[in-house]
Amino acid sequence: MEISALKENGVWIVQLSGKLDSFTSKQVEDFLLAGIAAGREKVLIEAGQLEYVSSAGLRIFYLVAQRLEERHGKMAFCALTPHVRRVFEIVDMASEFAIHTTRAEALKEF
Amino acid sequence: MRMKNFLLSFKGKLTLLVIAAISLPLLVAALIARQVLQERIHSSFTTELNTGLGTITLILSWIEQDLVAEIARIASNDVMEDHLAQGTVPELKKILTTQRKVVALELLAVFDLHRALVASSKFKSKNLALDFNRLEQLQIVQSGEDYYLIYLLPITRKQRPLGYAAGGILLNDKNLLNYLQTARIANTAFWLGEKLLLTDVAAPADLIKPKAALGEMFEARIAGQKYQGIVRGYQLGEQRLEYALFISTRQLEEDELKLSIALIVVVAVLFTLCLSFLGNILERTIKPLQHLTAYARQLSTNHFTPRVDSALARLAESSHDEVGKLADAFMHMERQLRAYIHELTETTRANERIQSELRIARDIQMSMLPHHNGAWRNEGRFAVAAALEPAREVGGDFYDYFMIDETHLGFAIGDVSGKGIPASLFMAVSKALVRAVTSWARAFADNGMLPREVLERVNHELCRENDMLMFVTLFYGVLETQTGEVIYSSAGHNPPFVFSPHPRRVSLLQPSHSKPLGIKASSRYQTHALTLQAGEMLLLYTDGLTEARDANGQLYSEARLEKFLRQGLHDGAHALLQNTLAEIKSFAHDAPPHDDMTMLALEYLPQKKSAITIRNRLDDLQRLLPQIEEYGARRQIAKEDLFSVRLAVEEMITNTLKYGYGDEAEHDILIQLHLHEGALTIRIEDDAEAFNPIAASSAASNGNAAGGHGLKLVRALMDEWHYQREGDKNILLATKQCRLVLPMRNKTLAEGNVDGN
Repeated sequence: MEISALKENGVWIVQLSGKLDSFTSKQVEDFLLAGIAAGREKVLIEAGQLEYVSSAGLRIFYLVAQRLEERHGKMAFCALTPHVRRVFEIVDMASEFAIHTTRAEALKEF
Repeated sequence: MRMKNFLLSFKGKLTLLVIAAISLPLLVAALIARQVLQERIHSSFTTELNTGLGTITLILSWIEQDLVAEIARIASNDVMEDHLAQGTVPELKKILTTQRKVVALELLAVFDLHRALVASSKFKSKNLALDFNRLEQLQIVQSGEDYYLIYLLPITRKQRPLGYAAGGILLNDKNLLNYLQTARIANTAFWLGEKLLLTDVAAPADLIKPKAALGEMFEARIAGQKYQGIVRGYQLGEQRLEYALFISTRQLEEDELKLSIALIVVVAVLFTLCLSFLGNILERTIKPLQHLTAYARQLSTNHFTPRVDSALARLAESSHDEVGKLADAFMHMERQLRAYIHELTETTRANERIQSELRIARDIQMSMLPHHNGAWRNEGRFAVAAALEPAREVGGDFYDYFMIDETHLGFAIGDVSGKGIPASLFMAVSKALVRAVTSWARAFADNGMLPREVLERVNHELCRENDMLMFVTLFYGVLETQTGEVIYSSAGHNPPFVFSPHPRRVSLLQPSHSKPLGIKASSRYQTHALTLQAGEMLLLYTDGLTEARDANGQLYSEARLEKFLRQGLHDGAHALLQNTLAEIKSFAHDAPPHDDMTMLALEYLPQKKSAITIRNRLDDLQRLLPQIEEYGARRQIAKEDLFSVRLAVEEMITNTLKYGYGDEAEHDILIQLHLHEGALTIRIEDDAEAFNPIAASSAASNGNAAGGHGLKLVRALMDEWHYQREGDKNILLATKQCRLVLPMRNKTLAEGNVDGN
């Protein structure tokens, strides 16, 4: 699991790469919560290299969304891989998060 | 024995020949000489006799002539005539006595006309009866033992008879013998008729008058001695005096003996001289031969490494006869031999070195191959047995088997084109490449590598700088030890047999129409899959087996192998291997192996634990998940589908770990994966508290709780799922119909293109 982050137009873009499962979710959770704690309010998860996500990963996204809500922040996703898109569809992530195909498209919405 | 050897030898034969050649003419010459000399002796003998006889004849004629002449002279004596005419007897007697002494007559007498004795000297007492009718003739008159030769003559004066004169000599006069004996030639004998008159033979009684004709040689034996002689006759008046001269043959025999001895001595001396001369020549002729013989013997005992023989060299140079030529031939042979031996030694040495290096090469080659006593059984999942019998010291066949990781066995069999050293070099490269590519894949490829990819990479490497255009057929497979699934790929290798024991069934894997490795860098290969049931075996082999020939050159053939496999019991991989090897060897009998023979038998053992077992720990789950991904990757399951299965396993087991166990104890969780016609089934068995995820997922489906999402995902992602509680076990079966893809294809093609440029 690799995580990197950059800032563009005031949006904190977090790039996830690898498999987000029960064993890697803690690492991602710590990273994201630390960023929010540091004042990041606009979070874009760029998942172009994220090939796998399990419910443990979903739990982080719900957790982060919950924290951002407290701070009136916002979280969105872009560039989903087939598996991740399928998982998101099953749990209907689209009803709660903005899901974009590209980063540029996502940035426009923030 | 030595004599026999000598006679059998060349020298002996030549010696005999020489002896014969010398002695035969010598003997003939000696015999002729003896004959000639003997004739000479005889003729001189005869001459001697005749000379003696001639002398006697001469003497006799002298006696006769003297007698006649003296009487005639006395009869014509005038004084005596006067006295006779006057009748003066005393005067007449005186004259007669004087005359007798002068002319050495034995007797002398004068008769008157009345034939009465007038006067005489030594006559009266003899009382001789003279025959007056035989006047002027010689007559022999006997008087006792004596015989007288008498000559009677009329005495006349002026044609008037006066009387008669008679004179005589004694025929058997010893003085005659004495005279004759002065010549000391021989013995003499005189006969008058049958009467022996005179002889000087010691024993006259033995002397018988020879019957031989006059002048002929006769033999007589006198006093035990042999004599030879000749008889002659001498006419004295009307009577014939016969006389013989004879010589003792002892002298003659002695002469002949002397002659013989002399001849023998001469022959012996000549013989010895000739023999020693010829012997010397013979010796000089034969000596080089003996030298050659000794040399030849030495040549053979010296292990054909002769030293230069100077004597032989001299002989070959100086002598131009047959022996010289032979010596020259020997010298030539020696040189040839030496060169040949040298060459042979070198060749042998080189051969030995090559043989020794080949033995080492064979040891090295054999040590490259994994070998175990009997079959190798790893954790009881499988048994693998292999054997390689090179036709020569080294060969181009190989086999290999190795664990790729904990649950995967890689196995391969290969057959390089050609035989011997070139094939063995290529074999070493091929085998090393298979291993290298496999281990490279384990280290760098996320999900391992498919057999066809292994082949393609190995092929690519082999095609580089393969100027000799060697190639290798290769069968490479991977056994999933947990499930018995085999994925494999073949590069032109003959398809292996699948042997099922219950019920007994033998089949061939589908033959793949693919090129051997090393021919074309861009060759592509296919991956196939099959699942070995417990007890089933794969028999990989090289065509050295099916192309083994019997003494008649007949091939063993694939059909025979299949029949044999079907008939035999073959209890296990090792037994299958040994049985097949024994079968081929019994078929080939003593025929030399035609090609390398290699076999690899892989048996999938009945599984006691047919599933992966983990403990109820997150760590174990973390290790399990990549195995599942790898399992899928090997079977070319599309990544998306594989993630669904992975997710199902993760969610279900996470759930169990979080909520299933009321105690702190360790529990086993069994996970089984089974792929059948694209449908991947997972079976999870645990002894946690009874929990029906299907029911729970329905209940959670409406909630948004993260925990509930797991089951919801499983239900959505998997095609089917079943739950059942068996005793204290939860058993969950979930199946997903998977798409099978060729995940690395594009990547490999791209690489191939890059390398191709």
